[in-house]
Order: sequence, then structure tokens, then C-alpha cells
Amino acid sequence: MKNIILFISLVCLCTNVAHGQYIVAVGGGDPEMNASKRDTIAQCDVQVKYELKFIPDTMKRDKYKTQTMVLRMNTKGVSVYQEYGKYRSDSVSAARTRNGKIRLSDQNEAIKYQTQARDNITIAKSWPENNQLLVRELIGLDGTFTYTEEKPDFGWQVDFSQTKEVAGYNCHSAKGSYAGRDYQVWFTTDIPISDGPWFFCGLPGLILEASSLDEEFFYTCMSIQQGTGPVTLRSLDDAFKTTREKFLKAKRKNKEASSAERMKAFGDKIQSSNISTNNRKRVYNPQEKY
Amino acid sequence: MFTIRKKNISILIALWVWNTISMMSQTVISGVIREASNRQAMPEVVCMLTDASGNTMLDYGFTDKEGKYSLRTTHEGDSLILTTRMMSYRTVTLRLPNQSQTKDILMQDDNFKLKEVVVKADPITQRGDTINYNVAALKSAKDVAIVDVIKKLPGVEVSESGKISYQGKAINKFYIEGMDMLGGKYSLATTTVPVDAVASIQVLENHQPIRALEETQLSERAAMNLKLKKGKKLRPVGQATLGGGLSDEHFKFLGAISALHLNEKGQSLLSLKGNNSGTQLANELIEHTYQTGSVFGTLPYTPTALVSPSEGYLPPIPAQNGIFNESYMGTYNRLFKLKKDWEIKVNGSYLDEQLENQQKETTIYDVTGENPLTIISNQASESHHRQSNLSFQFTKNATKQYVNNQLRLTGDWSEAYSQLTGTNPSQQDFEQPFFLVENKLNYIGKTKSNQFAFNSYLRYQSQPQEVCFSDGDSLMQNQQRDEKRFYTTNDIQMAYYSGPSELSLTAGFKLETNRIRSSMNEVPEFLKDSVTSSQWNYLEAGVFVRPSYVFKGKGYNINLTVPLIWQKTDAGKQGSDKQSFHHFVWTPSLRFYWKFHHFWEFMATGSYKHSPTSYMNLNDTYYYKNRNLLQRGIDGLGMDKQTQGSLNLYYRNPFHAFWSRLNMTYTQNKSDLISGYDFIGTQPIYTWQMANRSYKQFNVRGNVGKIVDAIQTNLDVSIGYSHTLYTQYQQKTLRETRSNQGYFIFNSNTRITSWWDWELTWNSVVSHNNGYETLWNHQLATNMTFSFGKWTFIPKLDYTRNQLDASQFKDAALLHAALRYKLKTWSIDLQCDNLLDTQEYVVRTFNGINQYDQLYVLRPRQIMVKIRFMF
Repeated sequence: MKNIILFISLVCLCTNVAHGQYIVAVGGGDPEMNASKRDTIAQCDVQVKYELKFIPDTMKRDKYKTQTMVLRMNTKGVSVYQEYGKYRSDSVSAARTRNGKIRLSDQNEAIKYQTQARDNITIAKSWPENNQLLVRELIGLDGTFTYTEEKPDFGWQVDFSQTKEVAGYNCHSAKGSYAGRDYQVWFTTDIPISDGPWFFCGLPGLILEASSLDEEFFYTCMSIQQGTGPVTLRSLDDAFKTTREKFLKAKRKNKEASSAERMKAFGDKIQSSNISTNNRKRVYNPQEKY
Repeated sequence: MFTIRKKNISILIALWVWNTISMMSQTVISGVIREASNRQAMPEVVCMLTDASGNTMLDYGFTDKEGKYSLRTTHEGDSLILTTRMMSYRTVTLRLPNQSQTKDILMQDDNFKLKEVVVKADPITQRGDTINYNVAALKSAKDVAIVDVIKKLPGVEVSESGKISYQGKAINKFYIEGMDMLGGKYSLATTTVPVDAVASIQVLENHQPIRALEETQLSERAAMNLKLKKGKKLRPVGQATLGGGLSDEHFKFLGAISALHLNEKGQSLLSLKGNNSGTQLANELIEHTYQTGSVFGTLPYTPTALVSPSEGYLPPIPAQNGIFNESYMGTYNRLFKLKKDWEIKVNGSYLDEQLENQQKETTIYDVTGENPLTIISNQASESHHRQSNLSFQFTKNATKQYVNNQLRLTGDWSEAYSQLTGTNPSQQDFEQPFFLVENKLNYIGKTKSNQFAFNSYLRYQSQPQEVCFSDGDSLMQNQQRDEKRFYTTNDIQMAYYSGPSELSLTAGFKLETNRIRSSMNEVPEFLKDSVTSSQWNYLEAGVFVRPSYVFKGKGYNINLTVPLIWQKTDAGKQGSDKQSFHHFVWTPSLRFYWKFHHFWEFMATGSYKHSPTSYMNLNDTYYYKNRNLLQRGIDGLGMDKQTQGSLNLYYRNPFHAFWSRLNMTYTQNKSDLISGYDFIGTQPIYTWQMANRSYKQFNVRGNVGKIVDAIQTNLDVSIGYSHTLYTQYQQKTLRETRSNQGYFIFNSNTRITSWWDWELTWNSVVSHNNGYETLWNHQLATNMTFSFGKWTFIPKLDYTRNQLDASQFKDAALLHAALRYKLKTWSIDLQCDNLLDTQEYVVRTFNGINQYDQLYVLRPRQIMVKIRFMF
């Protein structure tokens, strides 16, 4: 048995250490730290998982990336939409938080669920008011930005005669536009919640599938489950309140920044002699064109 | 002024009238929606207005904070349908007359049960040239390593040795997350990576692995890529297994640990395995994609043994049923991704495998003749393979430049022992070492309109081998056979591109030297006047040019290659004059490929080869390969002429999960050199003769693979037929043989219920030669998987029925069962093999002249307990 444990240790030593994003306490140990504040905005009645498939570079249209997103909502239409790994990470943190504090080991446990998500965006609909939505996102090192505005109007043209089964639900088709793209969506009136992935809303049923007509963005329902637990939103105390236009501008600037520009943004926080001199802009294909 | 003002007022009045009329023709349905229990207003209720049929939505909206709604339509029908919906409330549907009205609604509480759904991923999707097989949709409870799923993929075949083919063609690369760490030894990964670690298996059709050739040199072969699940990418993935059991009162063990680790800087795979319970580890080290890429042909990855026990015909049953082994293997593989396009690979392995085999063979030579000769050979053999391999590879794979250099060292210290009883009894000891060093260098440089390539291959191998025969305690004969071979080919290529045409010219040379020393002590009486000890020296040199033309049309291409080789062979026995031969060889080939539809491909090939026979047969020395095989060469080189043509049709439709192919091949070969057996008493001698030999074969094969969703079944059907006419030589007589063979293979994998999977394979082979009996061999393999929560039960049956003659059949049934208890990362298996304790497997074959009856001793009943940990 001892030899087996030795062998397994040898295997781990011989292979590369994974590059995780774990927090290590200076001096070691498992101290308590302040947990991120979260506000409960509703009780979750329905949880829907979507697969988001998109083209990150329009010059390479055969290369797709995928991401799992989750929409948690109540029957009154209050909902939070975010990346699934981020939701799980938040759930674990919330479950392990006591009196506003969380242990370092528990925080690292939560970090394990975070993935290399394209977007850190969180969209809360029918919040803070019924006809509003709130967007929150950590943008590089610039900080967390948030803005609130009226729910978008997609100008939906519903074609009730077109039906399709999606995820076992009978769905109808609608077409609409927002922020420079045209979309076709499939919604079901059997789930009478006017909501959907991303900013999609305003139809008399839940949107289960959506795709941009330029074939660059696709949302597909992966599962529909009875919701449990609260629908929470990270506190906005530390978020910089701005407008939608400024938010999109800051996000584009961050996404397109070259490696050298990103390194420069660290300033004196970076202590490596391995500073990147790559000035080539990165490719960014935003879903909101304007 | 007065006129303009009057005109404006007229327009305004007209607009007001038109608007009023419009509003008057509009129907407005409005009201307040409240909860029935407490009369409270209900916001966010979905309200829809449709026509009387319910098929056309006229308007929709939502109630506000005060529960108010308002819907409008200009529909002209007599009635309308108003529907109000909200989760946890009963839906209200009302038929209303088509007139404006106020309709207040009360909504009742309801125990609304959401229909929960988990969407199963499509098992197969396609994106461009990449077909994705979703592992979660295709795996079953009994699958452990990813090879268990690869075997089920429609369009994909995995041979007994682990070689993977797609649409009948061997894959040219095996990647894990886009990196090729193992080269052709990908069985190390397919038998190691746990099935639960893999998200999808990708087949990259028409894959050109060399980036500099992507736009110019098409490939009709595919590559395979494993995509791991997200959580498995930055940490070690693998499994550790420990097992123990009993078989025929002997202790059986199994131990294995394998770990794969990858990140953006590279990959590594470490594997340590050992067992004596029937798993042959040498198969995991087989190099499946090896080639030296020369007009002079490809050398085997490892040299063929000069002396070895007779292996006979391998039974067509899973090898595990007939292997008696004690095997150990260690391998470490590492790929370093350096700066962009550069990588270094290091691969090392050590194998120590002992195999025992018991077989009885009764051969009736010239069975239909007047004086048939029967030789009975009962052999109990043990072989001990010890082999170590080390290779270093450096590669730069950029769009304009490709550089690859691989250095390999192989050392082998194998030996074998065999006890023969029967017609020619003896005990044999074999020493079969060899040492090999090899280097391959490839360079390709590319500009916009032309390309330059340089290839160099070098190999040196030494095989000092020996076999000793003893009859009882005294030494009868000792045969030594020592070969030292040096081989090199080098060529340069220039290619020029213009529009759809590519013209290339390759020129190069080959140099080969070989020294074969053969020595037989204690020469038997019948060989006293023959040459039994000698040293032969060979030198073969050749130069060649190979012009090639490719035309690429829309969806098709034509490839014509005309290699011209001048070859000189010098052969001389030490102490005698040297013989020299000069030959001019040409081997043109033509290939036409046409993708005439998104799902259809067609390929036609034709080739001709006119070349001398191998110089290795140019010797006058008798030597023993083993007790039952004495060999001798011939005093000259013959000439071979081969013509081959094939037609191939492929259909694949990933959207309907349907693959099929049809291949027809015709081969004709003529030579003035033929080999076969002569006999001195009961001693067969394998020899060569100058005589005309002809060989003609027509072969047709078809395959269909389909996932039938309606019955949750993965189907695979193959059918083939070959007709062969050929000349055979035996005991100074030439005979014409006519052979017909057909086969049918059916395989199905069905998910009968969520807890019951059933796999069935039926394999029938029929052969008929020269008016002899028609012999049928049937094989049925079936297994069921029953899953209940954490428990899985897998009974399995392997049944064979072999025809020996018109009225005699030999049946063999092997029954196995396994019970598994599986947690998230642990599983415990209780495995019972050959529950019926079937002892032997018998098969008869006929080659047109001789009848071979083989009997193999099978592994006895075995019970094992295995604990597996997956990480």
C-alpha cells in the first residue's frame, strides 16, 4: 500500500502542476476572509441551462467556442443570467459563508468551479424595477461596471404558424433585432415567463432557442429544472455605475487590448522580468455591435 | 396663403377621420386580472389573443402593476380566443365575440408541475471537415477506457491490435487536445484515458498534419482527436487498478497505473502495468502509423525474427481467451510545446512479457494427392520478450516550413523455448536479440508558387540470433544466424504550383548493405553435401527520379506518378566470386478522387510495378528457422510484375449518423520465382525455385454503419468476397489453386431500456478451395449490460462453430460474467472468465493443397477481483 501511495506521488511530481487561480495565504494556514456580499432578489422557481455557441473571430468562421450559461428566474419574471461555472462558484461561496466570513480553503473550493469564461457578465431582468434590467460585469483590471436601463425592445414579429419541438416543449417562432443583429428565437407558451437567455425577453413565453441570422451566436436549451434556492446578485457597492454606451466602450477596449497593453495596466504590481512586448490587438466579436 | 391653410386643414380632417374609422374597426379587449382566492391584482400575467382556430396570434401583452391588460386587433372573424397564463395558476382560455369589450378574469391557484427536461446531446454533429462524436451519448455502463467507445463509433473500426481505421483507411494521426504525443503508439492512450474524462471524439476528415502542405497536398485519410472535459484539462487524468484472483489453482494478479497530464505547454503520459491474467501488453506498444516513405518501400518497425518457434494460425477469437502470460510494461511519454510551431517529444518504454502457448497441429500435405504426408506437431512454447524503446523527436510545423527529426533506439533481448512432440520431436531454445538505431529527417520549405523538400532515412540493425535443438539430453543441432544491416534512403523534391496544377520532381538514392552469417553445427545426414554454413555479403544501391503531376479540379483531383528506378544488386559468398545484377524498375500509379456531393466520395486507383525479387532469397545455404522449418534460398534474382486497380465509393452522412463504403480491388501478379515446400522424409524444407508463378485476385467489400434512433441501436454490417487464382509449388510440382472466400459480419449495440444494453456480433466466414469441402466458420459474441444505480452486471458469451468436414463441426462456448459496483471515482469488479471451463479451440483450414488442423488450449476458468480508482 505504501508503495502504491509512493507511485501515485511520483506520478504527480513527474507531471506539470496545474495552473489554477487559487489563493495562497502568506505564511500558510486556513484563515477567514471577508466573503463577497450577495443580495437575494427573488426565490428561484425555474432554472434553465443554455449552451452558448459563438464565433470569436469572424475571419475564422469554422472555429466556434462554447459556454454553458444559466438563467434562474421566478414566476414573476425576476431573473439572473450568468455563466454556469460562475453561478456554481457563487453557490458554493454562499453556502460556506458564515456571518460574512469564509475560510480560505472554502473560497479555493469555490474557485475550482470557475472556468475560462468568455464573459463575466451578469444580467438581472425585471430588476430593480419591473420594466428594467441591470447589467454587471468585471472588466479586466478596470473594475466592476454596472448600468441599469429599460428592458430592450426587440420589435418581435411572431409567427404562430411555425412550430418546432425544443427540449420537449412545443415552441413558436419570432424574429427581432437588437444592438445591430437580427435574431430568430423559439419560445414556448407552456412556460409563461417572458424571459430567455442574454437580453432576450418580451415574448409571451420562455425562449428556449435563439440564433443570430448572421450565424455567429447560438443559444440552445440544455435543461429545464424546477428551481431551488434564492436568486442572488453580487453586491453593487463596489461597482462603478455607468451608462450602457460607456460600459460597451470600456469592454471593447479591454477585450481588444494587446498583451503588452494588459501587462502595462498591471503597473508596478507585476514583478516578472517576462514582460510581453506583443502589441497586436486581440480579436473581439461582441454580440452587441452598438 | 388662404389656399395653403385650407389645404392643411383638409389634410388634418382627413387624417382624423381615417384614424377614427381605423379605431372604430379595431377590436380592443381589456380588463383586470385578479387572483380568485383574494381578489388581488396580478401583474406580469401573459395575455394572448388568437383567432378562432388558435393558429394565428393577433396580439399579446402582460398585465401591469394593477393587473390591467389591453389587447387590440383588426381581425375580421366572428370570434376571438383570449388566453391568460401564469406559472402556478390554471390557464384561462375564453372564446369571445369579435367586438371591443372589457373582460375581467379571475385566476385559480394550480399545482403547476414543471416538465423537467435534460436535453441529450446529439451523438454526432459535424462542423466543416470535423465530425464530433459525443461520448456521453454513446457510452454505456460497462465502458471503462475510451477505446471501448471508439469501437462503437459508426464509420470507425478498431482491430484486435488496437489499430484505428475510418471508412476503411487507417488514421494518420491521433491527437489528444490537438497534440500528437504518442505518434503511432496511440493504443497507450486509448486503453488508458478513462471514458468519463472525455467529452467528445473528433474525426478530422481529409487531414493533412503537415501545415506547409495543407493547401497543396490533399490527404484522403482522417485523424482522430480526443477532447477532454473542461475539469480534466489542467490536472492529471487516468486510473489505477489493482486486482487478484485464481485460475486453475494459480494466483492471478493485475496492477496498473496510468496518468495523462496536459496544459498549454505540453502533455505527458506515464503508464506502469503488470498482469498475468490474460492481457497482452505488447499490443499497446504497436506503432500503427509507421512508414519510411520511400519509393523502395517501408521497412517493418522492428525486424522479423530470423529464428522463432512455429506460430501457426492464430485463432480468430479474442486473444485474451488463449493467452497465458506474465507481462510488465513501463512507458513515459512527454511532449514539450516550445515557442509557436515548435515541439519536442520524448518517448520511452520497456516491455517484459512472457507468453506461453500450447497448440496441436496436424498438417496433411497434399491431402487430395496420392501420397499425402501427415506431420503432427504438438508444441508447448514459452517466449520471453524484453524490449526497450527510446525515441527523441523534434518538430517545427509552420505554414511555410516543416522540419522533423526523429531518432529511435530499440534494444530487444527476447528468447523462447519450445517442446515439440509428434512426428519430429525435440526441445528448442531460441535466442532472438536485436539492436536497432534509426533516424528520420524531413524538411519542407514553401514559397508562394513552389516547394522544396528533403528527406533522409538511416537505419542500422543487428540480429545475432541462434536456435539449439536437443533430443532428450544430447545436443542435436545448433543453428546460428547473424544479420547486420545498414540502410539509407535520401531524396530531394522540387514542386511547382500553377493554378490547379502541381508538378513535382523527386530524385534520390538508396544504399543498403547486409551481411548474413549462417552456421549450422551437427549437420544432419541428408544435408551432408549441402551448404549449411556461409557468410553472404549484399550491397544494393539504387537511384531514382519520380515525376508527379496533380491536377485539382472543383471537387476532384487526378494524381499521376511515374517513379523510374535504376538498381544494382551485388551478392557474394565469402570465398566465392560476387554476382552482380542490374535492373531498371518502374512503378507508375494513377489516382482519381472525386467528392461529387457533400456526402459522397469516389476514388479509383491503378498501379503497375515491375521490380526484382528480394536479394534476401539470393543464397545457397540451408538454415533452420525452427525444427519444423528448414529454409534455403536460390541462386539468382527473379522479376515480379504486379498490376493493381481499385474502385472505392464512400457515403457518409453525420446528420443521419450513416456511414457506408464499397471497395473493389483487382490484383494480378506474375513472377519467375516461386517458393514452397519440398520434403526429405518428414522434414519440410522451404525453398525457392525458378518457375512461373501467377496470382490473380478479385476482392469486393462493403460496410454500413448507422445509429438508428428509433430503436436506440448502433448497427454495423460488413460483407466481403474474394476470388483468387494462384500458382503454388510443393514437392517439385506446380499446382493451380482456385480459392473463394466470403465473410459476413453483423454488429449491433442497442439501448433496450435505460438500464439494459445489449451488444451482439455475428461473424461468418466461408471458404472453398479447389473442389475441396466448403468450410464454414461462425462466431457469435454477445454481451448484456444491466445497470441498477451503482451496480452493473455484464454477462458475456463467445461462441464459435467451426466446420471440419461435411458432417463434423467443432463448437466452443466461452461464458464470462462481471459484477461492478461503481462510485464517482472508485469501482470494484468481480470478474469471472470462462465459467464453463472450455478447454480447447479447434479450427481447420485448407490452402488448396494442404489441410491444417489446429487445436489451441484455452485459458481455464478464472475469477478476479479488481479495484479501480479513476482521477
